[in-house]
Amino acid sequence: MKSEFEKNLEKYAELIVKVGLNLQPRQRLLIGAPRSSAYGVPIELAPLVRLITKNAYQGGAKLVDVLWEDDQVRLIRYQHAPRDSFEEYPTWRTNAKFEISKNDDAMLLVAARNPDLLAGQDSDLILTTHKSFYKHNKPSADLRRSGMGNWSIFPAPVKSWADKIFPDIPSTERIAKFWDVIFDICRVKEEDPITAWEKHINQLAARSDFLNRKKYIALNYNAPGTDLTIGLPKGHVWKCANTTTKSGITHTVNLPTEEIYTIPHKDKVEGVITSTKPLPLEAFIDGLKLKFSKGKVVEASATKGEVYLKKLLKTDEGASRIGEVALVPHSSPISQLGILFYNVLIDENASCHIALGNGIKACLKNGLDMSKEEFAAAGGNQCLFHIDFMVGSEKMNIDGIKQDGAAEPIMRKGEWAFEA
Amino acid sequence: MSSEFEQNLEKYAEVILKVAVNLQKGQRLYITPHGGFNASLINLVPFIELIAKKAYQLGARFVEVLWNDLQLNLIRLQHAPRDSFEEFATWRRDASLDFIKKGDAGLSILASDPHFFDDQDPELINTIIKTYVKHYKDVSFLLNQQKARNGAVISASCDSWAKNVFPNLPPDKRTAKLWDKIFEICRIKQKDPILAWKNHVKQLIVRSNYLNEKQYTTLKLKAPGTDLTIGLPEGHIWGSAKSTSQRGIDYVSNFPTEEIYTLPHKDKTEGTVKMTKPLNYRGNLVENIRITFSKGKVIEFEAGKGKDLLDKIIKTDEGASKLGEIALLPHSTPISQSGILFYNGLIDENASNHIALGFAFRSCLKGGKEMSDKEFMAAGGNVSLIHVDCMIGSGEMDVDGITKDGKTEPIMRKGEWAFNV
Repeated sequence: MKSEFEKNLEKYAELIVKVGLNLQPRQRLLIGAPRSSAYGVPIELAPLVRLITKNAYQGGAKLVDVLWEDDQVRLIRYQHAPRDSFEEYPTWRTNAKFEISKNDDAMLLVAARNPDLLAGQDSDLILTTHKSFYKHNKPSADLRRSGMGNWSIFPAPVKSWADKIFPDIPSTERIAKFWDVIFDICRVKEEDPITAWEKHINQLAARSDFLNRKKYIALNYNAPGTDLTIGLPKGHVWKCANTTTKSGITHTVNLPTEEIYTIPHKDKVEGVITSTKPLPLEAFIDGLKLKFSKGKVVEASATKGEVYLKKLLKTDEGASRIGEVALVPHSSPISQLGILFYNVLIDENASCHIALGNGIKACLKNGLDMSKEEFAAAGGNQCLFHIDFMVGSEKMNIDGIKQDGAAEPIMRKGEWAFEA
Repeated sequence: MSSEFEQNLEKYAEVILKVAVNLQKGQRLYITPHGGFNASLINLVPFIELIAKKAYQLGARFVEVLWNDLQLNLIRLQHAPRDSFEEFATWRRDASLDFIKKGDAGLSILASDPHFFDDQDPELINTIIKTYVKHYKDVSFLLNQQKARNGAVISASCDSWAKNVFPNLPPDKRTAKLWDKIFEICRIKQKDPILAWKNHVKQLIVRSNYLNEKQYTTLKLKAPGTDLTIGLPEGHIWGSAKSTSQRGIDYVSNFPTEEIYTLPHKDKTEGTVKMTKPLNYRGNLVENIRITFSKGKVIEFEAGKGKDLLDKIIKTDEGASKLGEIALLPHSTPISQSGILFYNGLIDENASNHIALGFAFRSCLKGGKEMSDKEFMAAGGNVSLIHVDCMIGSGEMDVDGITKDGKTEPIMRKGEWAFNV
C-alpha cells in the first residue's frame, strides 16, 4: 500500500516529465543539468530522480543520465581548496548540457539547495565560480535560448533547505512540510494534476494574449521606492508558462509558474526601482536599489551584499541592463503562503520581478532566428547571466503606455486591473 | 574523540591518497565508479566527502566526483525501449579522457553487489557492457598501457556489497564488518600503515626483480584439476605493486595488491586449468570453470552457473580467448588467509594466483609501450577489448620455471614462494 506521500511523489514525477518537459519518445533526458549555483541534482533527491527516470523510460526515452552533486563536497572546496583554483570547472557537465541541446534532447534543472551553504565563504571566490560556470555554459545556453531542446526546472526540498524555511516546526517534520507545500503550489494534490495544469496555463495565456493585443510601448512602475519606466521593444511578445522549441515541442519551463513575462528594450529604462525581497544568490543581496538611465544602471546600492552586487554589474556590458519584466499578482498562491523560500524559481512566482542580464529571445517576434547583432538592434540585451529580482508588492501600480502616450492600468495595488 | 572506525577510515583515506594515488600538490583528482558498473557512488557519500577533504588538504587543485546510481541502470533494464541499449552518453567518458590526458590523479572505487543485475535480461546487460567497453577503449588504453596518470582502484564497503560477503551476520553488522576486513587486508590496522606499505611494496619489487633476472621461457602450473604450461615471450617483464606514470609519479594502481605479474606469450599456452574461485564479470558470476588451451587459445571449457556468460566473454573478440596475464602470489597473503570470498575482483585476485583472458599489459614487455598493436602481437602480446581475471591458485599449487637451457626450477610449492631473495 502506497502512502499519500509516495502517491504524490509519483504524480509529481509524472507532472515533471509530461507537463514540464513534454518528453517525446526516443529523446534523451539529462537530469540535473548544471546551474550557476549547482553542479547537479542533490543525492538526497534520489527517490524522486528514480521515479522521473522510470517515467521517462516508460514514455519511450532512449537514455536517461543524471548529473549528481553533493553539497558537502562543494563546501569542502571552499574550505580547503587553494585560493587561486576557483576557475577550475568540471566542463564535462556543461558539455553534457551542450550535447543535449545540440541534439534537441531534453533536460531537467533542479532547484534544491541549502541557501546558507556558502554563508561566510569569500564572495570573490563565489563570483569566480559563477563566472567560470557562465563561461563554460554559454555554448549550451545559446543553443537553448535559440529554441533547441525542451527543458524544465522544478523545486524539491532537501533537509538543509527545509531547516531554513521552517525553523519553527520540529526538525523531523520540516521536510514533509516542505514537500507538502511543493505539492500544493505545483497542483500535485489535484486528482488529475495534468488537467489542472492545462486549465491554469489557459488562464495565464488569456492574460498574455490580452497584453499582446495591446502592444504597449512602455510600462510605468510605481510603488514606495520605485518610479520606473520600462520601454518595450517593437514586436515584443508576452509569454507565460509554455515555450515551444524550434522543432515544435511545447514545454513548461518553470514548475510552478504564475508569471506573464516579456522582454524590455535594453536602452529604454529610466528611473529608480527597489527590490522587495532578498536575491537568493549564493551571496545574498538585500535592499537592492537601482537607478537607470538609457537602460543602464547608473547607480546601485544594497543594504546587504553591495560589494558583490557591484562586481556582478561589471561582469559584462549586458550585466547592467535588464532582460526580462514579469508580472505576478500579489494574490498568487505562492505569494499568499507568505514564505520566503530563498529560491528564485519559487519566489519569483510570488512577485512581479525584473531580471538583470540576458534577454529572452523567444519574447521577441522572430527572435529565435535573429543574429546577435539583429537581436541587439531590436532592443534585446545580451549577457552571460540572467538574474531575477523581486520588485512586486501589494503597493505596486503598473500602467501600460499606448502608442499615443495614453496610460492604461495593468495592475493596481499588486492585482490585475484588467479583465481578460 | 572519534571512534576506532572513524580513525581507521581516516587512515584508509590517507594511505589511499598518499601511497596508492600518490596525489601531488596542484593535481586535480577525479573519482569514478570502477568500470562504470562496480559501485553506486551515491551510496558512499561520507567516505567520498572524507577523500575530497583530505585531497584538498594535500593540495589538490580540484576534486570532481562522477557520481552514479546503479538503481538507474536497473530502472533502465526494466523500463527502457528494448532497442535502445546501444545508446551511450559520451560525456562521462570524455570527462575521464580529459582528466587522464591532463595527467590528473584518478581514483576509481569498487563496491558492487554481484547479484544486483541477477533478474535482468542477460542479452541487454551484455549489450550495455559491450557498448561501454567499446566507448572506453581509449580510456582503458591510456590507463593500462600508457600509464598516462597516477591513480588507483580501491574498495569501499556498503550495504549492498556487504550482504553478499557476510550473509550470516545480522544486516546492521555487515557493512561495518566488511570495512573492518578492508582495513585488515589493506594493512590499515598496523601501527604505521604508510611505512607498512612502503616495506610491502619493496618486498614485492625484490621478488619481481628476481624473476626478471631469471627470464624463464616457460611456467608450469600444477594443482588438482590443473596442468598448464604457459610460454613467456622474450623480453617479458614481471611487474608488481609500483607503477610509474608518464609524468614520473610512482603509484600503486591496485589497492590492496599482493601480486607479481607478467604477460604470457599469446600463442604458447597448453593444457587444462581449473578455477579455484567463481569468475566475477562486472557483477555477474560464473562458477566451476575448467578451461583447456591449445596454441594459446581456449579450445574447450566447462562451467556451472553462468556458462553462457563465459561463452560471450570468450567470444568478445579474437583476443578474448587468449591469455594476457599470469600473476603469482603466495597463498599465505592476508586476503587469502581471511578465507573470505569478497565478490570483488580487486580483492579476490589478490587471494590467489590468477590468469587473465584478454589484453596484456604493454608495460610487461620490453619496449611494449612504444609498439603498434601489430608489433606487440608479433612479440607475443595479446590484444583485446577485455581483461578478465580468473583465480586458479590454492594451497596445493606448484609452479616451476623453465630456464633458457631447459632446466626446471621451483617458483612455488604448495602455494608459497619456493625461492629466497
